[in-house]
Amino acid sequence: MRIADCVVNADVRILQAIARRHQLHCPLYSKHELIQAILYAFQSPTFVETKLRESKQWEHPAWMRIAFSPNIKFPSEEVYALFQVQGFRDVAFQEVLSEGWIYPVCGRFGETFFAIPSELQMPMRHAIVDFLRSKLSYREDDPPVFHEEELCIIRDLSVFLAYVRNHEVLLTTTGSMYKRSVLKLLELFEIAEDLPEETWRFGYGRRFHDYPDRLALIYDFAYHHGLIVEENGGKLCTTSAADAWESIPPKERQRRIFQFYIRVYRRPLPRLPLIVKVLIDVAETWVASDTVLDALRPYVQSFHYDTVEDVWERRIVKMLRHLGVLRVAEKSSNDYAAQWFQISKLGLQLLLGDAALADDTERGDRILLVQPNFEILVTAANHPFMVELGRFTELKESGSLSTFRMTENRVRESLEQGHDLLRWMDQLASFSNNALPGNVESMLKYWARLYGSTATEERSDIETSPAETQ
Amino acid sequence: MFPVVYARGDRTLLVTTDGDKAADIPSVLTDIAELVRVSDQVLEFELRDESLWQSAALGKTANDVLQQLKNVLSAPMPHAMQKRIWDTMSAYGQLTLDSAPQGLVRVSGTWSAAAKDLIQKYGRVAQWHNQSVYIERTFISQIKQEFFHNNIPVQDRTTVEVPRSALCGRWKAHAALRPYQQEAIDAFLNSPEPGNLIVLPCGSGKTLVGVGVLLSISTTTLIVVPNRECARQWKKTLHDDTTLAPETIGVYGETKNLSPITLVTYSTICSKRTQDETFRHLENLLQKEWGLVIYDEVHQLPAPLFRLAALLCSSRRLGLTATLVREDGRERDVYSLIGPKCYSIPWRHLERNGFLSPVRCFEVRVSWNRVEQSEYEAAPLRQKHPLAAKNPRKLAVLKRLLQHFPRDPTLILGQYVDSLRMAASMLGCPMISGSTKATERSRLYDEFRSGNIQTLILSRVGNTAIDLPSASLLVQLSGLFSSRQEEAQRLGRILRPCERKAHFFTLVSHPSIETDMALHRQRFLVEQGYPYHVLDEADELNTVIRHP
Repeated sequence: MRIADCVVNADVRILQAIARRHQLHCPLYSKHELIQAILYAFQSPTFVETKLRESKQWEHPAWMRIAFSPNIKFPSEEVYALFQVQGFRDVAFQEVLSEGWIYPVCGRFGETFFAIPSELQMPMRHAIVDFLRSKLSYREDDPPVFHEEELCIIRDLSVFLAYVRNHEVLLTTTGSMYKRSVLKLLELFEIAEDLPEETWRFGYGRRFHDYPDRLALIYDFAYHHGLIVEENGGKLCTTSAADAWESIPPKERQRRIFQFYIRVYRRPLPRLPLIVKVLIDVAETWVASDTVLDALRPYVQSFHYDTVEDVWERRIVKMLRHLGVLRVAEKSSNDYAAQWFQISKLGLQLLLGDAALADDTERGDRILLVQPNFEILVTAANHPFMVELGRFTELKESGSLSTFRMTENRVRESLEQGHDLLRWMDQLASFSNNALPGNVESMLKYWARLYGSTATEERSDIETSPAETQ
Repeated sequence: MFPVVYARGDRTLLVTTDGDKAADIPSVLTDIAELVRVSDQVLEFELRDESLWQSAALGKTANDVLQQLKNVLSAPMPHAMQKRIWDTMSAYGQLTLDSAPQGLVRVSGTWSAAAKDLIQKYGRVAQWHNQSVYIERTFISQIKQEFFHNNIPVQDRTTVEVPRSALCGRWKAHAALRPYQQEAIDAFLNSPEPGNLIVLPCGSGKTLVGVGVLLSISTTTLIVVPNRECARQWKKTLHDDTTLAPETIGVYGETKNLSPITLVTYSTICSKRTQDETFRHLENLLQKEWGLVIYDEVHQLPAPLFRLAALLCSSRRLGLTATLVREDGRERDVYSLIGPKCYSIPWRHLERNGFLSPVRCFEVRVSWNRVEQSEYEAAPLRQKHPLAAKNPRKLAVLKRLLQHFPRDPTLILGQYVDSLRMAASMLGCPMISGSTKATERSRLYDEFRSGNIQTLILSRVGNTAIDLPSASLLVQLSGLFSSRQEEAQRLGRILRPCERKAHFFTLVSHPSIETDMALHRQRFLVEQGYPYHVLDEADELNTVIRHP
């Protein structure tokens, strides 16, 4: 809805108030003249910018809601409530209308809405951001030590899926994984996390009470996306969707888990989407976390046992850090008195839904390096072969370069389950940057003969072959 | 492919290359980390506190290092690693040691509570002067050691008064230093610290570097070596390559006198007549004032010798070693008592420049005769190892193997003396075991060196730093496969420069417990960057060995 539509439909008293408020030189009794004057004024960017800059209202949280909303039309009750709950009186609301930023409009069934003209919403957003920025402290240079987790969370999600796929993960009667599995997972994860303290934990997802924050998010995401199922017998299993998951471009996976976070965490923290949106505009450079909290305090609400500070630090900043949206410099790691953060490049892409989200990393098929010490280094975060890779290897370390190790036990187990090692070796070689080292190849073949389904026949071969050649 | 650098956890840096291993490795990596593994297309560096302190000592800040490292990494640096670099480097030099009048040492700087406790406890401090204390020089070593153990890297800025002595020696005309040896000597002489380590691979001429330092500083020198053979080797180098007068050089133990240049073995210093007795030789040695102390093979320095090192803190100290890795993990003691590393060069770099001969490693799987195999299978676990080691078919394979190397100087190593003896009688070659007399050993080594003996069999005594410059074939009949050091030592045997390609064979009974044990060794050698091949005894050795 453009300003012309708003003004034409507006009551003449409102138009008069606007003209008086902004000292527009026109006859107040002619609606037509009023409309002309208001449109003339508001279509000038200079006028709008000046008026927005002069306005003293931006401290009022209602404006931020309106400016940052994806909609431009709001039910009247909502708008009254926005201004009233926060202590504005009716009289004041008339003043609000006299600014000329929002207008009452009629709905299809005669109900009243308030609308912000579409060409005013963006300038208002800028004005509010400028206002906020004036209250924040910034620094230009990168702090020496900071967290930047980038795509860690989806890598760890893959680690989780691989673990469930290749191990028997049993569930307790209450449906949570046993502590041993949890500890093992936390150990394999790239980002360390401690087990949660024995306190009330609820509100941030289905299994939030069982697992530490980040693992809980990973688990709930996998569950809600049907990557894992909790079987009746008390066992956790992956699904075919989990196998297909590895083929999705990494940033698309990251975007899904980020959206899932917003969906889950907005239940306890209804203003989360707004906060995240504001962060894009105010945290392009390093900004002191506590000043941002002070500026956004009206939108950060406490939640049961979580105080406003807890919510800010643990549910918002920390989780956005895990999701690769924020780079965070902790005060304890540096010589600083405060925590600093900055939106990362990935964060901007996720939040703006950039076209750049389409995988911009070059993905060849040669994603492995097979080492003569039985380790396999993997340079890609995503590849369909990752599912197969786990069949005969143990994950040793995850990270931007993850390491898998072929061990005798693992190979034996898989052979006993009927997997085809020789075919797997061919695949391995086709995805490898180098030829399979001779010692690895011969050892794997030896294990295949020793533990494979045809082990007995083959074994007699081994015994007789040297004699034959003698 | 340009090297790509990945960081992992708080201590590992991995570099993938396309083959040229020493090419273009960013210098920041070698400044703050140790190369611990080299394998196919991948180099693994381990971040060391000691190296970070060293960088800080050379004037770099944590911020410099973090920026440089971030610039070469392919992905964001893990937070744990950033924090570790920051914390470790910021800690360096918060306390410093400086020489003060009357033989005292001033310790000053920013004191943490832990540091205060330690100085009170070990420095017997009577009085504080503002933020500094004065302690006696004799306490320094222990204090440094305790500080380092508690992650308080003190900066040692004390100056050492080197007693000028009448030593006058220089290199003889024929002696020529290789470029890296001269670099190592210069690095030591220019170092601001009173003590330093020089890390060079086995067989690269560490002794010459030691002698070079000795000649440059020209002072009373104590050289601490692992064994008598080694002492003999040092003495020979000093005699043959320098103009030092023979009477200035002595081996402590052979004589009780302390010469201006004295060689002493670890075992001599550590020996005691009774359990309760103090180390009497230690006290004798300390009666003389030493201007320079050289520790050979410092990674093997036994723990009791740390005491000697501690008492010799007022001398200039040089540690020579092939590796900073100690099996007992006491790298930090070495750092605190001797000093930081001032020079190192990787094995493969020297190999590429022709200073070391390339080595190829083979594991030959030897099958069983039916009788021995059933005996092996029936044996209890603890008997399995000797039975696998003594598999008689190994001798046949050994014999065939040697036929492929008719002219190579050959060493045969083993764990079990009786099977070695059988090999000796089969091949008709001499053998050195624990019971062989020292004179006889020396004679055999000399003959081997001169080429009169082509094949020599060594039992475990072979695992020490003896210079056998001409061996190009090493066959391991059996081994414990336990210690990485043992492997490095054995390889060191044949790493010496020679015109032939060197080969290292290990004979392994298969299938047996040895096959599994060999995996460890395989991994270590591969990690050190050696090509490793597994052969069946039936393989046509000739084709495999000559054209892999």
